Amino acid sequence: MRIWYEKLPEHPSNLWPLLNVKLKSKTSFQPALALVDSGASISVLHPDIAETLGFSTKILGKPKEAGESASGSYQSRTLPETIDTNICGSTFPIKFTVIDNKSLIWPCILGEDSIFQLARIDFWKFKGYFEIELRKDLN
Amino acid sequence: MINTSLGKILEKYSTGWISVSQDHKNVFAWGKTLKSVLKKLEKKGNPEGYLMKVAKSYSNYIGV
Repeated sequence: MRIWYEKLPEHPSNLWPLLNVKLKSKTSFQPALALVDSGASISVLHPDIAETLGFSTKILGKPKEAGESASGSYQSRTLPETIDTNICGSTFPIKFTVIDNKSLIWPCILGEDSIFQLARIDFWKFKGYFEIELRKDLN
Repeated sequence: MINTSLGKILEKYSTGWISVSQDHKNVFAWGKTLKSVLKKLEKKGNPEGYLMKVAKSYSNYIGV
């Protein structure tokens, strides 16, 4: 599937690989935009999105680990269960980490441990699109 | 063709959360908080909108 990059305000020369995803927990369902991030070692949910899926920071408890990213330091909490994540029509259970970095602007980040394990992704940034070919041996 | 619809929508806001249509061309709801967006969506019959956080800058994110 070919997906066109998005131009966002302020720096229109920057192109962003964004995907529509549908997140489903045991108690809630929430469509959101996700950044496909080959530079992210983990997959991330924004705390507000996690809360709508039934995982408030109160429920998740104290952060277990702290990390450093290019966007600054952050504390993290790993969800106790996977979130069924619909990507391009197929659903996969994904383990997400909630991070509380104030500069986090993405509702969802699909990193190396999720989408890059679930699909072949070819980035054709100079052509303005990326292509996702979901694995057929998983569903 | 590179998508510019979402960028044009986001230009109109500087904070909060937004729910956009599947093609990112229409706004279903905007609010200062995600909870307020979800309430507005509920009043509209819960159209399948995709949530995005509005930011003053989209340039400083690199990765986690």
